[in-house]
Amino acid sequence: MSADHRSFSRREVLRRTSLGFGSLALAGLMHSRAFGAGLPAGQVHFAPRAKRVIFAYMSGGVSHVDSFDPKPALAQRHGQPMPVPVKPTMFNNNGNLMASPWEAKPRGQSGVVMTDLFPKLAALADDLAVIRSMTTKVNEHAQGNYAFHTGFPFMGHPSAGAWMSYGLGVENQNLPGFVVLQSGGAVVPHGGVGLYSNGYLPAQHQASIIRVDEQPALPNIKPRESDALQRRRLDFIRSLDAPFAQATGEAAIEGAIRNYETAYRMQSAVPELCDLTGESDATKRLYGLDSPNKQCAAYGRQCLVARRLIERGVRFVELSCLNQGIGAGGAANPWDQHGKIKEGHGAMAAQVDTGLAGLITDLKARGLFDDTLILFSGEFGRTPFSQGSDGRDHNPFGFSLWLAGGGVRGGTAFGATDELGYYAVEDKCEIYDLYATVLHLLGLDHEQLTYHFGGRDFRLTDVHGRVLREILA
Amino acid sequence: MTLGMMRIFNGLGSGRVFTCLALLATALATLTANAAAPTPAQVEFFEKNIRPVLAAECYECHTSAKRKGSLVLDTREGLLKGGESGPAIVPGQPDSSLLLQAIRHTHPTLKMPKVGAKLDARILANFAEWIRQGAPDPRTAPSTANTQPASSTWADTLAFRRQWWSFQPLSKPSIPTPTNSTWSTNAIDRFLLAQMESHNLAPGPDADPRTFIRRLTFALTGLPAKPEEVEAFVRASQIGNRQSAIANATDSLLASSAFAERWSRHWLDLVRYAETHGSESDPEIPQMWRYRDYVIRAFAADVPADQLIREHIAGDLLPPAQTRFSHDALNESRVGPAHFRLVEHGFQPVDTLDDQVKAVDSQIDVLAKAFQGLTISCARCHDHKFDPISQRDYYALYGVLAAARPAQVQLDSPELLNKNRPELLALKSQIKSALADAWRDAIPQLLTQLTSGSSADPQLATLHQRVAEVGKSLAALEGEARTKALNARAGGLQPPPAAASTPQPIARWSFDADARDQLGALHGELLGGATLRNGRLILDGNSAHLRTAPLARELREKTLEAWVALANLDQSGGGVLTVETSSGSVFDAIVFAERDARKWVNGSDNFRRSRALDGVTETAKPGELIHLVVSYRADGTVAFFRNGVPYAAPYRPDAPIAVFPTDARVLLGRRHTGGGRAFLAGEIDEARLYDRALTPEEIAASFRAGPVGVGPEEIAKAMTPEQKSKRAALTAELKTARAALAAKAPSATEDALATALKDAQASLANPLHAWAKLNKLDGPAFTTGWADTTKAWRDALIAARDHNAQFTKAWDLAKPTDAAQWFREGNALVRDALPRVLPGDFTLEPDGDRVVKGLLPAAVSTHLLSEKHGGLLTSPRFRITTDSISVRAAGGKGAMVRVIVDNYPLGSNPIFPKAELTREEPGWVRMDTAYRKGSWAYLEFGTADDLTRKLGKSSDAAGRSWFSAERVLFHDKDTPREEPLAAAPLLDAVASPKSAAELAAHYERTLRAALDAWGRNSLTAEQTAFLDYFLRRSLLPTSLKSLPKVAPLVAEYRRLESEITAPRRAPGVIAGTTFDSPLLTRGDHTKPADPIPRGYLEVLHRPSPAPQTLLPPRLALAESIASPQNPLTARVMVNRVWHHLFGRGLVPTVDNFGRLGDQPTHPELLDHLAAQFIAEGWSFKKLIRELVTTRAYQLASEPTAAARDHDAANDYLSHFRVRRLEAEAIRDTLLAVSGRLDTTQFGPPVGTGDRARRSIYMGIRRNNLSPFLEIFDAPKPFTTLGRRDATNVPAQSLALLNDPFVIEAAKSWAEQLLRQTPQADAAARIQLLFETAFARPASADELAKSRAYLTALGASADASDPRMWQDFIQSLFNLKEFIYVR
Repeated sequence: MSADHRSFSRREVLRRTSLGFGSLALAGLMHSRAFGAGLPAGQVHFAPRAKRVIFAYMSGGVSHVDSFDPKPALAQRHGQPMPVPVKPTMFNNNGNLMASPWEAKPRGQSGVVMTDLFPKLAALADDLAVIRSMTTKVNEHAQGNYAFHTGFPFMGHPSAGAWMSYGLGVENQNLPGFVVLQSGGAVVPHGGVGLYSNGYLPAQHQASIIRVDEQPALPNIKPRESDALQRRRLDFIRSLDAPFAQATGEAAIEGAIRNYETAYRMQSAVPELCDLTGESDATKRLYGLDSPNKQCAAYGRQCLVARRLIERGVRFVELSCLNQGIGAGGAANPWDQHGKIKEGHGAMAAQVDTGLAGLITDLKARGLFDDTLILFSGEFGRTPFSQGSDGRDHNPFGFSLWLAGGGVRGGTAFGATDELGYYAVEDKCEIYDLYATVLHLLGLDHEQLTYHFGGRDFRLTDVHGRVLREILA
Repeated sequence: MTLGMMRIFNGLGSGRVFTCLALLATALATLTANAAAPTPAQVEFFEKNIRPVLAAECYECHTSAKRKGSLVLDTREGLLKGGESGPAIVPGQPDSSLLLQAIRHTHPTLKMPKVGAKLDARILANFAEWIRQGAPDPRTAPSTANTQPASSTWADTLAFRRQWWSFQPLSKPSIPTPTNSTWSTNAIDRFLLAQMESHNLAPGPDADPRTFIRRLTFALTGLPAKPEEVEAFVRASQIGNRQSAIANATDSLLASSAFAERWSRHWLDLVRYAETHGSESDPEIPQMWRYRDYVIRAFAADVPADQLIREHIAGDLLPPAQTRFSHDALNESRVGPAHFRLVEHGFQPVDTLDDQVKAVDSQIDVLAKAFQGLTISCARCHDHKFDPISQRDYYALYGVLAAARPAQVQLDSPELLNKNRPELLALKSQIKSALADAWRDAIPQLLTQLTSGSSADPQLATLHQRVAEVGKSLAALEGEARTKALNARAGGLQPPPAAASTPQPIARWSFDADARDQLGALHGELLGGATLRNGRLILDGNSAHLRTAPLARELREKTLEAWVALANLDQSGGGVLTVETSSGSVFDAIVFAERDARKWVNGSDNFRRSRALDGVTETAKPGELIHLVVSYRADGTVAFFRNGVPYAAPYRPDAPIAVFPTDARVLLGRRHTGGGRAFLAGEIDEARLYDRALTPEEIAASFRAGPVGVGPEEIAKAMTPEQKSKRAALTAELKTARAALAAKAPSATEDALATALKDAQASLANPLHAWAKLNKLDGPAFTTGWADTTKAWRDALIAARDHNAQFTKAWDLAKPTDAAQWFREGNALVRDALPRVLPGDFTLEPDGDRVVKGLLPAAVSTHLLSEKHGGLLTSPRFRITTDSISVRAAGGKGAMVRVIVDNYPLGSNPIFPKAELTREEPGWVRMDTAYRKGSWAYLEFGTADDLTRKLGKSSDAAGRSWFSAERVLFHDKDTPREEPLAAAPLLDAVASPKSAAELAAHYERTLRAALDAWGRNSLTAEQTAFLDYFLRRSLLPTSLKSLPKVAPLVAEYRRLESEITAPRRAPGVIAGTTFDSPLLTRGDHTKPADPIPRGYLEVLHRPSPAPQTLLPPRLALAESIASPQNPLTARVMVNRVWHHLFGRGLVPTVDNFGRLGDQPTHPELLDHLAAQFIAEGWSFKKLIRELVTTRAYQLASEPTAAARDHDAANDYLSHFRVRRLEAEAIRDTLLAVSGRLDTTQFGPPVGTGDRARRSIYMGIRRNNLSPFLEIFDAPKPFTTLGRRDATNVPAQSLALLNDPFVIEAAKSWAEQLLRQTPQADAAARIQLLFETAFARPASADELAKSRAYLTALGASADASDPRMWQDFIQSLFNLKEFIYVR
């Protein structure tokens, strides 16, 4: 099975890379590890259910009790003090139990209960596998972001997208294997670009941040000269490089020479990617690109470009939320409503709901949903009690996320928090379990996807992780 | 291409390797256990060399009990029988034995033990020998749990693991004699050549001189060789001796500043150098760059490696003889420990212990990798899987490092730090005597004034009366004008209501003359540059604000009212009027535009009692007064009014109305203490505080009535000409009366005395209270009055003392024994001497007419000689057990006290207890520690620039800041009270005064006794307070004018004080309480087990434990690592140098000399180099010189045919290794060749945009690393990286093709080229470019191609078109030869 998968990839590579580019022999290209072939041939450990991941990261922390894990007890006991001791919080400004402003009801055929915070996603409930018993060990944004991206709460380790690029290799030589999308002025979450780092993995696995609504979309991607001029320059360079490469006999130098061909092709591949003129109006509408809500339209553009990226063989795409500036949510943590959760979460949900629902619908229509994994999560949940009068503080002890697509059993609600949504009490999950499951769906054994650095083998799941078979189709 | 440390997977995946031995097929099943009994010698061999290895390496999985893969290795039978697949050994045939193949890693799939761990070469030889002998195995008895260890003990494991090559003492290998006797230039060559010969290899040809000098220059300086340097070298090596040309070039490169910059960058890679802490907000590590400069200076000066390491670990603890100073009197050694501060810190962590565990782990990780080539950090959760490092070792080391407290440390030499100290001390002593004399002399005068001013002189009384009357008339006149002015403000529509109808505030600030509360005692202090002008408080929006004395009463229901003019409408977050708790964590306030632009809001802590108010958007013009009121009703309702009408509907927040305790206070112009963007830009005309909620009617009336305070200009404007002239007359009369009064009472103390007596009337705590009450009494009335007063004094004192006695006394810093337990840093708190805690010490004012303000209670103070002295005073480590910690302290100019929890140095939000010290006189400051109960902590008092992290304001421009710390209490709810000490000395009288005259004499006696005691340094606390009272109020002379004999001494003191300069500071650590850390079960900080005695690795203490137990633990650690006996340190260091010069270490895994690292390709050479390194004084420059002058370093990079076939990895160095330049070298080279490089050295980090400095001077912010450098594998600063990756990604090509920086470099070079060669033809220019970029001329072919390319570019254009040359140069940048070195 794995061999089949592999050979298909190779054919794919040949097909894509022989389309009229460059003049160097493809054979060399194929054998070079410079192009992101992370593991040697035959690496996929078992039959993959998905080939790629789209990660909708909700930076700042979505309130699970207001969305995917509604708690009737909060409405019943609104305004009452917490019946159990409250663990230290970030702001130590803890109020009483607070009802959700959003109504909850069973959705779809599966009857999974969700609020109407995300109406369009709720309508797709039968496609979502909600994990309601997520936990994390850290309570602040930067550490939470690192934990969610790399498995470790500090910088230096490879991001999940880098691990997947490393584990699966790259299908399209003209695009990076791991892409982070931004639009509408969205910025990197707290912790900085280290969140998207290759860590100790080879550098080709680090994320490229593509700004889907700006020019240039990627630093240095825009040539500063005409194509003819650049082509002439590249020919000249190659003619002078050849004797040097020959004299030294260094594989690295040959690799560097070939990189120029790739770089040359990327210069057109990236702009083409962000050019949506070929998309139909219906498609654009589906993603909310026509929305009068500018943030909604900008996020929808990311979702649409994400689809175009995975169509072109990119392995891991992360989407970035835009700032609405409400209730302590800032550019790096827009979901962080320490105050004004109703306004803040309302605006944030309106921003992402249309685009994500549109993405699922579009992927299904194009037959891509079955081998694409969508992951939706923030770095932690929010407290069932208020912070101040109308906000919620961070809650790392129990929160929700969802997966959809390839290999995931839609219409599932797995695990549970207590009746207030404070602690995960049933089938408690860690980030390691999530990534063990994601890697499993990609055909990778999380215990075998390792990299030796600084004296030990590192894993995305450290020394933990359990595949959550309960949510698998 | 190098792919870093990537471990190639085999197709089976790593999981299968564990069971590999068991998979062997049965082939020799007949081989049985009935071999001949082993001889005693064989038994000994087995027991010594084989059994320990099996026990340590194999038993974990393969025992009779465990049987992984059915393989049993703890019996002879099991070994011979093998697993499911058959026998592990073939006796007599080592090479056929799969066990040996597996442990040699020669088998295609089987690699044992465990993942990638290797056994030492000598062990492999032992196993081979043992199998060759037939695998004699004494283990005949069937295995039982008793006869064999199921899993070995740590002692067994250690005994075995310590045999690993890198833990062996340095051997003294003899220098080999290779067959080829002519090739070598030195011993190193002979080692290398001998290895080559033994592998049937011969060295290739030498590199040509141009290639060589380019290689050497890049390696030593990170910059390209200039064409003239290349030519000079070529000439020298042709004319004379090539070897001496190399030696000369090496010497000159080693002497260059570029060498130190290049090699210090290698060092910075080891310590994960960065200038911020990462995480949310990426806070700066202040002045971290001083460490970078220190490393550069160290390499320039060739500081011995052992010294450098010693300084890194314990530079702050080194004895004077081992301490180094730079030429400009900077204590270099103190900078070394700055690397401990290069940790990441979480942002305001809820769990600070977790943060500390991570930070210390990072310190251990770096220390161990950088200096020992070990991965000790692996032992945090369990004993090391492969190396002789136990979990106990880890926590022994943890205890040593966790005791080091983060701090900013002063770097100046003692001479600078103590500049003029003896002179100042001597002068101060003289000044003290002179002051004592002057004060004694002044006592009679004081008494005369006391008696005369209070009783007899009728003239004086008349004068006083006249001053009072004229003052009153003037006030009435102005009052009328004020009313008129206010009417005018209100548009004249409403007559001001009768005074009676306006509600009475508890405090009012009108700023007509000062910042005092006109109604009560909530007097304001102008802070942060706040000033008064025209009856208004002027606020700059940066730091200016006003803070009042504590409320001294609880406040619940309340109204805040203010008239304010905004400087602009685009500001946000500034507070107008605030009531806040002493820490600033709870507050209610009138705030502008914090939530919504241009809208008012009633701010509160975390908006608990706030709501976005639906009021009008503010449009007031600058200067236009706005009236704002917010009232807080008892029922929890909050109402906000603007200009007399509701700004929004009243509402009831979820959080109840706040109760402000007695130590709460009022702020004007600042939202709350500790808040960001908290300052208002504008002017406050008047503010009032009420202790009830005003009704809407009252608020409307108050608006109409307007502020009471009206500025002089406004008043003048409101007067008729007649009134004006009357006012002038009154003013003149007042002036005359005052002058007459002054003439009558010539002493400056007259007014002071009058004021003091007025205050004393109302204040019991005041020593003159008795006089003020009793001086007109006589006979029995006096006696009774005295008895009552002294009883009241006594009662108040006893009550306060009783109250305070309930608290746990943590430390009384007035006691030298307590003070001595604390840790002192900085020139204000000299470490070596005992702290001075004399009662009644004083400070001399650095300027102005006043000489001295008062006396200090016995305390640890920083400013006894100068406020320019700074310091950090930290307490012993303690566990927080109470809700609060109160300190009695004074301080100012940015000084703070903080509770540092689990050594976490950042933390600005309210869950991190702290207080700015702003009291001139000592008082209690409470910090809320409830959130942190149960944590380990210490207290930190710091002057502004010495604080580990500045949170408040800075010191003043001269670097002045000060604090005085007296006492610390741990307590819960109640707060300590001030003890009224000042009157207490009057209670000591043996005889009670019977009359005013006797009372005056009593004052005199008491004053004289106090002054005498002061002279003897034996003041009591009460006497100190008593005397201080008279000085603070200038009842005794304190001005230069009134102290003619003291004045010249003070002038000289001030001159000497002015010569003191602010110390230079750097991040560092300071010693704190030493303690044994508990072992954390599975590394979980919530599961502490038994404490582990502090120490270092057991494996390095042979045969006995640490010999240096008398040293401080961190210094002992430093000595242990920087020791010639340490088997790792010198090997690791020479190997690092080898790696940088030859492209790969003799141990390729430069940061790991353990079992998961590679073993040395040339073990004897490594030991030879290490021994020589030590013998030559740990000199990097000598080592580098030795290495680059070898023949091996001169080899060409083309492999020989033999090498291509037999040594593809070039393990034996028969040719030179081609390498890509590092990121910094690429950037620096682009700058250098294009003539833009700015070679300025040292100083604060620079951005990418401003100056073309070398890359090492660019700022490194963890969350915002340089994209250009990152593309070329500049390290991410999180752990030691002794061997950088050299990846190959298209982003590199894109950068060199399109990055504006590269294009700019090409442009700049093109312009320079044309400037330099105005007449040259294209060929000459091409040659110059090639020589600069590649240290060689272009070949004929290259020249032809280049000309053709240029022609195509600008066929018709003239040859001096800079754009054409820019284009050509940019192509050269993109040639691989530009960034690769042969």
